[in-house]
Amino acid sequence: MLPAGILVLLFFLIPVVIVIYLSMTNLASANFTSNLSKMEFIGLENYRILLNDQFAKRIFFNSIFYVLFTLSMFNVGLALVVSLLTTHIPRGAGFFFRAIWILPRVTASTLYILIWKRMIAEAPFGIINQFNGLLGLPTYNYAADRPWEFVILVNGFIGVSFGMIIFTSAIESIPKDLLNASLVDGSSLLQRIRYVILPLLRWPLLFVVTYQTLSLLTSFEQILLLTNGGPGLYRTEVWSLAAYHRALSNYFGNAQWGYGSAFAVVLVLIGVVLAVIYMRVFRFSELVAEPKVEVL
Amino acid sequence: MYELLGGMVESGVMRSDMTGIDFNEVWHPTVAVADVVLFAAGGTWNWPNWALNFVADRGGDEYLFENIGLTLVPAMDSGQPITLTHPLSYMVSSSSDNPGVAMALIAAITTPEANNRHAIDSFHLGILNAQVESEEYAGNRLLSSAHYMLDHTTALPNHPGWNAWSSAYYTGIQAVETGDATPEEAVDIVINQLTNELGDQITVR
Repeated sequence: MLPAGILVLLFFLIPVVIVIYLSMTNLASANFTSNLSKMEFIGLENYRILLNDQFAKRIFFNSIFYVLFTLSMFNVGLALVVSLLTTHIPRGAGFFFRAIWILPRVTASTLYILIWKRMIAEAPFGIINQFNGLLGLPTYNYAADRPWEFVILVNGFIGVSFGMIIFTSAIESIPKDLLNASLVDGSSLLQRIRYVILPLLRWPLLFVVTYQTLSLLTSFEQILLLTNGGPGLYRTEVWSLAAYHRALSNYFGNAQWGYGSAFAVVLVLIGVVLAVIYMRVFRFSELVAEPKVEVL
Repeated sequence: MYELLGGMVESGVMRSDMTGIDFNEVWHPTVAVADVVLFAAGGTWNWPNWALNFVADRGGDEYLFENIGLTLVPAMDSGQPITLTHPLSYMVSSSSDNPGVAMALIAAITTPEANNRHAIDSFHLGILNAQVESEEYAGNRLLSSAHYMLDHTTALPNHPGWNAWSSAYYTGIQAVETGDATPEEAVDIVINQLTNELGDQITVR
């Protein structure tokens, strides 16, 4: 308990307290100091500015949209489909396809986005557009015309691997007796998935949904590299990217750490609220009470 | 300004995703190696970048000297030649524990030699008189041919609120170019953002 407590204190509680304190100062490049006592305390002024920001609402709903779609379509949806498919084909082939799905996750994100950027670049530079040209199809400026589709696709391809690994191991650890019993009862494949496998995946599902929601909420590097929140008026700017833009990436390093921290604190609050909701909805306490399947 | 940009997009002179164009993937490859370009608006620092990364196989610097000329742009209201610069000032934070050391460091790097290195490698015009008079600077073909531009330049302001101001201004540009807002709406967006973030420090006329 103590080592875990120290870790939580060092890497979660203390940083959160520091960020909350920073969010109540006007710390910026012009009055930078690393001395906490010298920072200018301005109370909730940053939060007042944030709430009055004309684009805060749009950025908030962008984040919800992004998390909802990426999570349901890829991080959970496709992850589940890939796990089910690869556990119902010969073992070697299953490994092979899962290994392919892990590639986006293990590729360095800058390299991964560079590949995507070259893929979707406008004609004559983009690879997809070169194929469009060969096939006599019209060419598109994908980054400008379809920013959300690609933001979700790019992040979704990375997100599949996590759920896929968890779900696959969960499916493979289901005792064969249960599946054999349902086979004896004359169940079809779809019935086995619906009535045997999925109910036993409830715990991994809760874990993946919760973990990936929080992970998507705070991840922004792919969006930063792909669209940088654009085009136009914050079309793909998500909350964590807005915090980054304010705190760390302003024109010529003119950073506003105080104001950016206010964005980050709001994100922490959203994350905590969502985590609590998930635990209630999925009845977390019941799930950890005793294992549903006893493997002898 | 917003009217001009909005009008340029509307009439097809400018792309609607101009600020979103990827410089390395699209803009430089298009402009630097195209067979025919009448005018391209860029910075002097594009030159060494092109010489090194985009037209090296065509002869680099020599190719650019043969094919490209630099010019100022006519100002919209007066027609006088004009350009834009943003000399960054190094500031010592008011909360600095060692302002003297910071000052000494700034003084130590603000030398003609150091600035010449930067000017010659990246084609940024000189900022010190002693630098401009040096043989190294005066003898550089590119720098000496463009140095007169500083007589016609205007400087962006330096201010602790500059960041809020520039990001609001830029937001307005993105709003009109993509058609997300009319020029009038863009001005309202900018005013709204500036008054929210800078409060009393800003006067809207």
